[in-house]
Amino acid sequence: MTLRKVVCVSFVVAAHFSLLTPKLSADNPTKFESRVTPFLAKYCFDCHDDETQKGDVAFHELNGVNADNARLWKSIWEQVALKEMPPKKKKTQPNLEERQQLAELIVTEMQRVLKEKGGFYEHLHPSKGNLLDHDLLFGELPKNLEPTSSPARIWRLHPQEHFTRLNELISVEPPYDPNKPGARARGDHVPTDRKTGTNIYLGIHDVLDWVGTSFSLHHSLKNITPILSTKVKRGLQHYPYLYSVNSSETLRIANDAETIIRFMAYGPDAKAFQFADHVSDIDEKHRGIAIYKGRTILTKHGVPQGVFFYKKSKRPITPVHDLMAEPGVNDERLKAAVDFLFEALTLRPPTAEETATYLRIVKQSIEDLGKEQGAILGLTPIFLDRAALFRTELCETGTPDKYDRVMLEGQELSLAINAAFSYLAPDTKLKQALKTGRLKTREDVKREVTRILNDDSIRKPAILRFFREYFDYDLASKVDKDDILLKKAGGLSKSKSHRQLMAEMTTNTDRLVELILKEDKNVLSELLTTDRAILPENLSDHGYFGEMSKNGKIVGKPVVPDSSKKKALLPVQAKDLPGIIVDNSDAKVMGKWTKSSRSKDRVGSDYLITEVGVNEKAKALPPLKATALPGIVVDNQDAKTTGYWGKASGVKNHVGSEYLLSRTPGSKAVYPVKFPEEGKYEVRITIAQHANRSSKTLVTVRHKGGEEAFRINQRISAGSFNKGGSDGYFQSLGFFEFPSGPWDAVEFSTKGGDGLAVADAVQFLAPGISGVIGQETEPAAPSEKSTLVYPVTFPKAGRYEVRFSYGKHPGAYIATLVTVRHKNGETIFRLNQSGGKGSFLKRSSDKYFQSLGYFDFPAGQWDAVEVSAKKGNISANEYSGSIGKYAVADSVQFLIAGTPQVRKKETKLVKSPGGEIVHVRLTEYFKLSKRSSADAPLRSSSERHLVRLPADQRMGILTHPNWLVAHSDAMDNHAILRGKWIRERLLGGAIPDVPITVDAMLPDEPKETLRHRMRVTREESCWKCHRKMDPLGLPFEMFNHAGLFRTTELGKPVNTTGEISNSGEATLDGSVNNALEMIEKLSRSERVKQVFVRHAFRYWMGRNETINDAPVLQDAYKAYEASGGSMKALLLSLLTSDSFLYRTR
Amino acid sequence: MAVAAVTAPLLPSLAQAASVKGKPKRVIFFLQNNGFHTDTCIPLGMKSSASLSGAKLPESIKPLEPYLDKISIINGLHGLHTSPTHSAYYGALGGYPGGELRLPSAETIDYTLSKLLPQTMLPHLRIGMGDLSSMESQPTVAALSASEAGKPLYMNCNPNHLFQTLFGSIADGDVKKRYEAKSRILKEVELVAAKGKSGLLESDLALYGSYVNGFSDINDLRSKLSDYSGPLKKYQPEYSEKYLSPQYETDWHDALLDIGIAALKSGLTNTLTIASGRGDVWGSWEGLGIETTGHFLGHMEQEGNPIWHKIRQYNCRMLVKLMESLESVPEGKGTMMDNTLIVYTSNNADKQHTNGSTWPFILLGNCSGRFKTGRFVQFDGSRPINALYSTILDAVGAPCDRYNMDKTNAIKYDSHFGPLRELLV
Repeated sequence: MTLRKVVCVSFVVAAHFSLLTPKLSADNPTKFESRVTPFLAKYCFDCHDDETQKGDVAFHELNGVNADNARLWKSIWEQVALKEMPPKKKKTQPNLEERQQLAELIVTEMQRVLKEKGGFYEHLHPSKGNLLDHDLLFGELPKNLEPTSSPARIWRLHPQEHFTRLNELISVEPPYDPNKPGARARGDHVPTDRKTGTNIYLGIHDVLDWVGTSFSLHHSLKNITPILSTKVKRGLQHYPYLYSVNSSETLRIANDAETIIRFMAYGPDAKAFQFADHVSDIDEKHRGIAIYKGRTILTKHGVPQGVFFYKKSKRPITPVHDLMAEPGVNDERLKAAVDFLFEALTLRPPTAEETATYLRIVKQSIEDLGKEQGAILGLTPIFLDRAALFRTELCETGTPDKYDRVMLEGQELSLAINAAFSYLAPDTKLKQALKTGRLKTREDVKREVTRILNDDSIRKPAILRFFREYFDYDLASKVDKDDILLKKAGGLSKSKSHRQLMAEMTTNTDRLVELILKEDKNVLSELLTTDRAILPENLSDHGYFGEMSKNGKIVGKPVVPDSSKKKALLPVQAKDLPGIIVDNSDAKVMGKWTKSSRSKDRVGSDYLITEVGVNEKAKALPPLKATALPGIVVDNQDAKTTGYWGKASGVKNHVGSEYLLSRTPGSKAVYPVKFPEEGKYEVRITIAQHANRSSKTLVTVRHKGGEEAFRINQRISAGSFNKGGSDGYFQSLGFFEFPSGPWDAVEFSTKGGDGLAVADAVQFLAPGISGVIGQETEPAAPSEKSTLVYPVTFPKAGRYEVRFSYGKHPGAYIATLVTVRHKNGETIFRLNQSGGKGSFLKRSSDKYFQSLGYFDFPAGQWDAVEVSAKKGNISANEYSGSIGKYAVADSVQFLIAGTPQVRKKETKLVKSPGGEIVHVRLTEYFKLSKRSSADAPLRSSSERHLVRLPADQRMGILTHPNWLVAHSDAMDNHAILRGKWIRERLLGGAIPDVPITVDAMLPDEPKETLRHRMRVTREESCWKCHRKMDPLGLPFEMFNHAGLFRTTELGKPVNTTGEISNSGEATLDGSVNNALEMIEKLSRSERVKQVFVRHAFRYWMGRNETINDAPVLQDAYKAYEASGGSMKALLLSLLTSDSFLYRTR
Repeated sequence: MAVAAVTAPLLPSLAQAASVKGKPKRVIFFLQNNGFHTDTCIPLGMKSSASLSGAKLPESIKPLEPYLDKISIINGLHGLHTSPTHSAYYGALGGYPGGELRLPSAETIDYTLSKLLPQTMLPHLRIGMGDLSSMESQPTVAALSASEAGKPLYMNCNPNHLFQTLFGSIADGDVKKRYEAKSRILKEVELVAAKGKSGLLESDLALYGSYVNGFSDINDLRSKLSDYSGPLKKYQPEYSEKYLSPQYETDWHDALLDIGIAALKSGLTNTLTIASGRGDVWGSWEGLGIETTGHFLGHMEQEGNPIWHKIRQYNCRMLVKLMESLESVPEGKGTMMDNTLIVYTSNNADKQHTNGSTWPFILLGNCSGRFKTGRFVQFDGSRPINALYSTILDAVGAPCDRYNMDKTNAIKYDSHFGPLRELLV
């Protein structure tokens, strides 16, 4: 046998290498059997013949491959290639060559036999790459090895790449800024947004303002989501064979294309009133703000008309726009649009034939449907062109060399080089090189690759993508977590927030990877062992980098940062603010207001507070006589009480001489009544509200059909709980059927209350009888109403923005009434003063001021704003938390429309931030939703801190919470997954697929450690595979499943020991005390670096390596080593190799 | 490897379904967003399972009162594992964790059924009802249905587009013009795509073929539809003013429902998914006199709230229309409705902000005698919505122990195996 036959191990890409293996193509099944049987007889029959049948596997009757026994053959392939079989204890072992031969034979035969039965592709899968023995690849090179090449092929664009191209049509992204190399720039991949997904938005750069929260912004903007069809969830994904485009995807691409073309032509699809130059030009009614019963409500919350755009669009103006902007159809414009779209989508100019085809189609379409509809529909086919969705490497024209290989040339070569780094079109210099005939040789490629690698302004999302796929750190947000267990482990209490945080950590890790790439020294080792991490100022994910103490609390200094100290707000001075400021010291004060300086988010030295509602109702409404009321009234003196009830009469809006009060558990008051006739009655109660009452007094109506229980908030005025209107006394519980005669109809109880329960009077009204009492609906104006009026002198008449500041005072009321008196009347706002400013009207909030909007005012003196101590109505849904009791008033700012709101510095850092400031990628959407004001420039929210982690706790990416979480499950660590990662990605080993007979479950024993629960994997049949994973994964038990460092588990010192075994590198093998020790050891290993090179090869070549690639891999490894671990050197070597440059047809 | 959770859904095979006697023929899902409050569905005064005979329904679903013998009301199933706050999205019909922008993790029950029921030309039709401008600007969105992990299925929200797709071949005027223009374009694209086969190696032809075949699939459906003009003509809805110049979004909601009914009656489809609010928390119903829109609607109490009475009653009228339309068409010895099941619920359990501890449903029709009707059934909260989906699968002759729930989750979320026996005859 010649060496050529032996080493052309086409089992990895057999289909493409049939040319090189003419004698092994096994067209003839008998040949297959005749070659396989001797191997089986020699090495396998001992244990697997008709008598022995070890493991219930017997080969004596195993004939050629067929659909029924394919699974067994696949298993033989894996077991033999991975040296699992024959068992190590057997003396007679096949050598590596024999193993490869068998593997190749089986794969070739499987492909042949299963061709019409769904095919056999497993050998092409990235996870099977390691089935080619490492020592064969990196050992002594076989003689007469034919030079390698890749198969000619088409390559579906990576969804991210496709997406980036679409985004180019609709957005103008910022150029690269050398001062902020990490911040998002044109050409970077479209990052995650809303922290969990990826979208591109039409018109995001044009947004002027919107109604509601960023949540509604997101839902109101038109967006396009990527079309993903990846079959792989972990590891390398960018293999051509893994992707295609199916019919539902093509339809979606066509639909999206229409949307995009329409946007390119006309800009945001919105009504005329949605466009303005300035926020103040937008009419309130179009902002969807309406005043309903004194309460401001947003009626257009989350609908498309709630988003407003700049009149002057910021989208790219392209030939598609020009075509549609002009009346009529003009051939030149039409051709320009076709050519532009074609090049934008395929990254190359169209051929004359291509232009002609698409021109014909669009013209026909215009003829059919008229210009507007016809042009838009007629241009969509370009989005579906083969070159817009696939990249080709067909080498149809080149001359084959003596090995039948053709070197990539022309556009194909230019696009292949470009695609190794970029998702955008080739840069000018690369285009120029192609044009001027300087892109033909290996030297030319070397020159261009070197140039691109050294040019930071050419963004290289494809490189970052490799590190994501290699490490899988971006998968953390995809792992579901059990809320309770997550919180127990020191994670966030909501799994949704947790997932968002994990996605943000991906962005941070991306940047860390880039920083290490920038240094370009010992890249892999640095990624594995760096003590650096990138963190935001927000404390929450510092916690994930923290330590879990014995009592389940997060302790210690997770990481250095002083940077974790929040910025403290300091009061601002009126003189530092633009516009007219009326501070509380200038306000006209009525009633009782007290000065406070407790909260720092204020203007000047203090602000004023008053208790809401104290002067109201209770005093204004005198007690009622039961006999004067309509219907049947049962007062508390007739109630049957149990437990202890006191009497009081301080709150006046009650019935009779007094009401009952109790907080004693078990106290009840039952109201008996005698109904004159059977039928429906409305049940109404009085509650004599006060702040010391229970917010959830249990009131039960016993009606004919059963019982209905209510939880009544007795702290606030009656009538606001349920429909039924308020008359200042009664609150309706609804209509119920009652029988005639005596009946215990209503019960008040202290059960489950959180304050004094009140039982006063109950009224029963037959339908149609009005419960109206004398002067109903609103109580009389209180005699000593506390109000604060801000007078102002306007220098000129016009439109001003009114902004109100108030300290975030403890106990601030959630529905303080603020009235703006303007030229056209009054607008009443109901402000939640307990929440962050801007939380309700979502605009112009800057921690001090809440904008109330734009109003017209006359020139001269004017009492413009009033703050009232009257209670605003609160709806039932707002009951859950504390409602507060203070109205707070500080100052009012009036800004003539168009004035910027810039202040002099109002904040200072308590301590200087730890670590260097770096920037990370964020979408426009993210920045927009985080901006401080609609008119403010976008905030630099991409700032993060580069910090050092404690060396005894963390080491490199594998110890960062996002990697740990990505390799965990809902309830615990996943030592198997972690071990598998180390085995495959660092040691170059592989694990055969789980046999179908395995019931893959660990025992459900919540009080046992994972290590103990994993004892089941030590059963002989399981351990064969698990020994390759578990001991590598268990050292990570030094972290819990949220990624926090721990020294104890379930109250005992945590066992973090493990072992490296069968690594293939003798010095590596041996036990380790914990993950840090293991990682440190691995990072120094030659084999680990070689395996990293193998993965880089796979990613950039888009296929698994073959033995013919051995020289390429060895060269790449040498380049990496010789350069001191430079990724650039590694890439240069790979991208100028035969594997990259040559194709075989 | 012992621990990797086995997540393969326990799906029935087509073969099992084929062996079924009896003939359930179609299933309709109707999901209203923002939750289905328990107060708006439980018959007045009922606390435990009982007959619906003589029951009084809450104001919200009053229009269903004349049909008490044909429906069953279910309370007490849970969706704790679906993350239903705001919406469980694909999790509502999939019975797995959902969430904003999360891709489906497996197929959903409507899609599963569409494969099992007697085959039709367009096995699964999905329609989504939102506010007018959303339906215009995003004529297709995906939120509820999926054909497999990572593969959302789009719902049609623009009745003009949908009408053109389904009835364009038999229409006239502008509809026909656009239909024909688009057909021509798609055929052109198919030709261009087919040209792209040139130069490809055999190994890539399979990969590229699925792309080219995508277009022939679409074009095939179009030509099949033109061959099916008889039934299409017989049942096509009237293409009226409300399609082209709708005054309110409800005009389009009505139009979409008409198309859905026509697709069922003409035998074009066997599974219809209707999403009022498009599986999200948004939507508007100005046509019913409701000014408040979007997300705010979800922040309100439902029962006793005139706004929600209007929306819910509007749903009920649609349900009644569906039932009556299917009753009007004979099938076998009875009518189409005899072989139909309608499932009414919400895509976020009982309310907008909820943990999903209870998830109310109304089932309409007995699905060829498989389901009991005329009953209120109160479950104890120990069985997930997945169990209801298993029950429907059981009824169509494809029983399974669990739908889209692996063992690990079942230990935590399901107290029993198999279907909800209480619901089946």
